[in-house]
Amino acid sequence: MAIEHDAAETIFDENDVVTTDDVPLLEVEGLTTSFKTEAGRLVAVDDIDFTVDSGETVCIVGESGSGKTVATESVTQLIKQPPGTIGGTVRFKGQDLMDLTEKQLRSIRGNEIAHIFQNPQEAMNHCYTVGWQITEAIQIHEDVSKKVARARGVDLLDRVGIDNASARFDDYPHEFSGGQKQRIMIAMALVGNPDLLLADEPTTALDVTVQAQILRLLNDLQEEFGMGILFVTHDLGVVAEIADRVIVMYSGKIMESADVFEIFERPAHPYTQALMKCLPERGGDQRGGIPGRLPNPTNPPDGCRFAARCEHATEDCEVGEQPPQIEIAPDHHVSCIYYGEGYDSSVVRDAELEAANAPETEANR
Amino acid sequence: MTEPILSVRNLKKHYPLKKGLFNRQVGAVKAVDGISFDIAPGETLGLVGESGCGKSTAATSIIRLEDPTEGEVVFNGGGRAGATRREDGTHPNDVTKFNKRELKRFRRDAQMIFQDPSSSFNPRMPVGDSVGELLQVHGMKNRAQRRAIVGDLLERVGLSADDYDRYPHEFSGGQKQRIGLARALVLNPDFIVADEPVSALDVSVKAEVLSLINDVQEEFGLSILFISHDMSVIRSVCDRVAVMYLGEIVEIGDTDEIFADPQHPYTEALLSSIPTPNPRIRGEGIELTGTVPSPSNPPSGCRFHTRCHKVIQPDQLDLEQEVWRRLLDFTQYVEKGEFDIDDIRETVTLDDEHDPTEEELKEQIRDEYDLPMTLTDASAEQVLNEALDNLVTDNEAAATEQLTSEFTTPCAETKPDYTTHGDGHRSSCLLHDEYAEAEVALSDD
Amino acid sequence: MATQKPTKFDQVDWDNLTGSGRFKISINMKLLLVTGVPVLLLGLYDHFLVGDREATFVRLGEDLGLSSQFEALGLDFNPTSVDILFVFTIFLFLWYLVLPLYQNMRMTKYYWKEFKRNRPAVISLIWLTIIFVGGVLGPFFVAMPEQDLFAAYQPPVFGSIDQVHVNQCVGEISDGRCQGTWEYPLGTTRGGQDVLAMVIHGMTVTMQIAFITTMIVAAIGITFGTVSAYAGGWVDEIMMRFVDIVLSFPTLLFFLLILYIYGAGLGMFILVFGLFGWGATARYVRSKALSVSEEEFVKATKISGAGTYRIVRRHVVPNTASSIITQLTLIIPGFLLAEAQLAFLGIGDTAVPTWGQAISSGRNAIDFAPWIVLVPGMALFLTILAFNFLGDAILDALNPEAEAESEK
Ligand SMILES: Nc1ncnc2c1ncn2[C@@H]1O[C@H](COP(=O)(O)OP(=O)(O)OP(=O)(O)O)[C@@H](O)[C@H]1O
Ligand code: SF4
Ligand code: SF4
Ligand SMILES: [Mg+2]
Repeated sequence: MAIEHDAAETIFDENDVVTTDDVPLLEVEGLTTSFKTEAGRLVAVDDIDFTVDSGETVCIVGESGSGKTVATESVTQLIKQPPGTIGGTVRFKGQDLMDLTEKQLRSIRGNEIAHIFQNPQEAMNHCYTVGWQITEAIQIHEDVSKKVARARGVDLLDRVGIDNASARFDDYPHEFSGGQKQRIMIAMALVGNPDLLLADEPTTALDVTVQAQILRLLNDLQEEFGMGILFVTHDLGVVAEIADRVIVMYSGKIMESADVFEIFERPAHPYTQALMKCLPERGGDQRGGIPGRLPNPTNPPDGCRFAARCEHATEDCEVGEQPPQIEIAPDHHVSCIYYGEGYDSSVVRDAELEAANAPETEANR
Repeated sequence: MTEPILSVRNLKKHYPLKKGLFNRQVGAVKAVDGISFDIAPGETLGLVGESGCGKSTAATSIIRLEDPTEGEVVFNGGGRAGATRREDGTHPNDVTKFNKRELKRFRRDAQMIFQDPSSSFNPRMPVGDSVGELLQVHGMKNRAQRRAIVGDLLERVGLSADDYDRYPHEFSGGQKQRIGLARALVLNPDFIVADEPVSALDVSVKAEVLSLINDVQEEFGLSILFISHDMSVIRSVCDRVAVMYLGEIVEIGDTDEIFADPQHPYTEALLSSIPTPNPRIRGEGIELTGTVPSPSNPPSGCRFHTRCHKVIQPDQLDLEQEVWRRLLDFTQYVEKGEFDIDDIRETVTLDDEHDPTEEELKEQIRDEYDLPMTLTDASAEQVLNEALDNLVTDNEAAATEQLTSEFTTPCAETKPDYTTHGDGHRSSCLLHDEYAEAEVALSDD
Repeated sequence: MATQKPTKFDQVDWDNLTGSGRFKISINMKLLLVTGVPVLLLGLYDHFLVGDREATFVRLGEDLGLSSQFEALGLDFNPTSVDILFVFTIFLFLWYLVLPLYQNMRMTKYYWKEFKRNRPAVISLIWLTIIFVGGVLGPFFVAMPEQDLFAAYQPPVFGSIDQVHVNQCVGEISDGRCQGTWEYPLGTTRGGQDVLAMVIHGMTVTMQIAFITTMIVAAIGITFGTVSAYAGGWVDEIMMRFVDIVLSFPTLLFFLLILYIYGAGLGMFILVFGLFGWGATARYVRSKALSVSEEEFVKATKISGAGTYRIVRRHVVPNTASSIITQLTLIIPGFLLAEAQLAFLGIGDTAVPTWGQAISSGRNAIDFAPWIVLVPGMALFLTILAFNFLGDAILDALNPEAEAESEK
């Protein structure tokens, strides 16, 4: 472990652009984030692993409170410590971000890893013009004259689809609509030419029409810059629209991860299946949502976190740890005991759902 | 034919725009500009549209939280059924004309659920009192009885009677929304306006609250006006839908019909913007360009023409629809004076060092505004080319003149009427008019 | 039939529901009437019937034919009108601020839990409680400081002073220095007045200024602010312009003017500052009321059919209360400082033993008898600080929404 670590650091030190083919852009291992609360220690994210490659969009889905936001914010340690505590390794281009000082982190946050948030209103400073804020951001990252920074800012706004960028450059945030503000946030995130974009529900507060525009924009930008995107959402429609790979989270744990087609067409975990059944478009009939609620985060149950709401749960599900991640197909991991040795996985497989969503029937529709 | 419980006619709400020392009125924000619809007893009508299109204003005007500017809201619930118009044409059940006493009576029969669970309860009052207050206001003096009723109701919406004494901050958003429903129900109304009742809630909680609303509606035969910007929510709870754009209803009809076969281009775009949970079909939605124009100065003709992907071409032109849309967008920019040749010049200069030639500039313009290098229609190409010549020689006025006189659309001139597509399904688009005219012409033959 | 009242909402027959519309007086109001009215009557009696030189209670005893009983009980006080008003405000404070806290134990506990987190504020509260209790009860136990030239410049206990400054040392003299004694724990002034007694009587005045002025300001400010917010239109416009005038009114100069023409005591000070100090409060209340009435729960109440009075009384005012209390707490230091400054300049009411007077009386002796300035000075400083801390903490504690948000 430690040796691997050093090796990675050397690569980073020699040249921070070099990434060998086998080193993913972002590699998270054993990430655990907990908070001290009055009710005790709350483990919001519990020992999760995932990777994001360049040019790839990875979506984290899950109900509210499942730890999606905490997971993304732990990557660049945006979580306030204390009350938070972040453990595990987060390697970005081979470099463990956990080892960095706050100052180094700050330079990485703006430059190589950018964040966009759910609520553009809150993330912007209302006292300054949009142009001023962008110019400021550019000048923090690079030593350029005001004029050059301004030209670049206009260009960026134009790139993210603000009409008449030069005319609107000196407007204040409140003079833009919600969707435009989100575009501006994206422009600001692009200032440092990031290699990784962490987007936490960037379209949840927006109208569908605007959401469609933003998703398209992210896709275009990814094609243009080849960055990796870690996208948090609870909307499976959005997932289907942009994801290459999907991570399904529940109560701080990863339940299933696979590429987007596998997830939608052959959901293997009972939780993923339940999510799919909430979608009438995919032949689902569970209109009232999944019955029950998330377990208490300060005192999660033994065994599988989903057991209380799982229709296949047996006694074995309620002892020990969360079942291990089992690879059931290339790059398709599931955390459910039925995929382990000595169990019959066909019990949890939902043939009906898979048949309804097989790609060929889909095409027939 | 049964009498509708609520019938809205040509309802308008304009907010005056005031300016200056003496608060002179300099215009009006036409938040709701002439909407009409009926709601049948027991029916749920959805009102859907992008943010800022006037949904909430419509709600507050109908329930008379604000006084509408114009129009009529006839409410036939609560034992008012069967009333007929007076001789002077006014209706005795017209909510907009209710006096104080009638209005208080109306409050008992029509209630509202609000969007934001965190601000819709008085933080300094136990929720039970907030709900019970309605009973008190309407004359129930017996505290024990109020308590019993509210307790019973809290249980019916899935909470416990003991929650009476708890304060709003002690509940989750979903629970508060349940209490909000209890508050709306406590006077046993016939009609409820629900303004985005679940948009502040989580997906899983959302589904629970929606199914509760559904159950309650069935049990008590409520009529609901359900406002939401979320099409999937509308689809799961509404019998009929009205689609709003910039203060007007552009299409109204049965939910299933509208979702299966939207008639108005805006509805079509709205529906296709919903991301489908199918990774095999991606990016096929219709993209609406630009944003909703300001309601203080709505576009002429069809209000949607500044963004419509089906905007009609004049007879003499024959362009690809997409190109035509962009050409109109470009025309709009130039017309509004938002086009700046100096910016273009700067961009070209940055790219390579020498002074840009006119040809280069024109190319850059076409590039930036996504116009093809030559238009397929020769006459259009000629006009565009001349206009660009004028633009690069700083003759903006002439360019504007050329563009606006040539690239016009009937959509900007004529206000479309409603076309009926059978059984209460109406929409307002010139394309239908044309279609209808063509049909009429055929049958005349 | 009518005996069994329906307990389900859909069984209520609204059209036949006849509630007796009896006007109910709340317990708070009753208590205020029972306690406050006699006090006010006493005030009127004192003002109109009792002579300047007569002691109110002695005269009252005579008038009631109860002189002997009064004497036996030691009821020979001669309260000023300020004192009487003070007692009235205390009752108001008890029945409308402290009692509701008790009536609403659950919320109070919750507020207290929030408030407790703020250490300086808790200490401030303790300090102010001491000042309050000392101010209300102190004068009954500690006599007014009396001139005693033989006991001038006595040092505080554990302190000492060069013998040359004292006329007669009460304590021991060692090394040519007079040592302090427990007889004057905080020393004495040039006139031989006990500093401790001065501080205690100063507490009374401080609390009188704080309570009475604030009550006047609150009464005018809240009424003016809510009426303005709810009237809207040109009424609002005119009222707010009037507030502008009040705000720009040179209260201090006006007070000096009155002082020079008529002479003025503490009562006049309180009256003038109260009557001209409510501008900021009114404006603040108005903006708060406006923002609260934008909240959805006010709309919900409107939809319920409730009238404006009910909305304002039950929903708007309670929800502006926390910020109004904060604002009021934060303007008290201004009044205290103004009084101290006037006293220091020697243009206050010399008959009233305020802290400002005490500080002023010690300014010439600051180099050898610093306690005369320091002790009341510290008391004043700490009190002002305490009001400021308290104000901030109240705002945080009384705001359940903020808490709910942070919990999300
Ligand atoms: N600063 C904090 N202190 C204590 N607990 C926290 C903190 N931030 C988050 N949590 C807890 O961590 C858990 C996961 O929260 P998180 O915000 O990551 O959920 P989420 O999946 O992003 O939900 P949503 O869909 O609502 O955004 C929750 O139980 C939450 O209450
Ligand atoms: S481990 Fe058990 S409880 Fe968990 S998902 Fe599998 S079957 Fe359900
Ligand atoms: S009238 Fe024209 S602009 Fe309006 S919707 Fe129809 S086609 Fe589009
Ligand atoms: Mg989140």
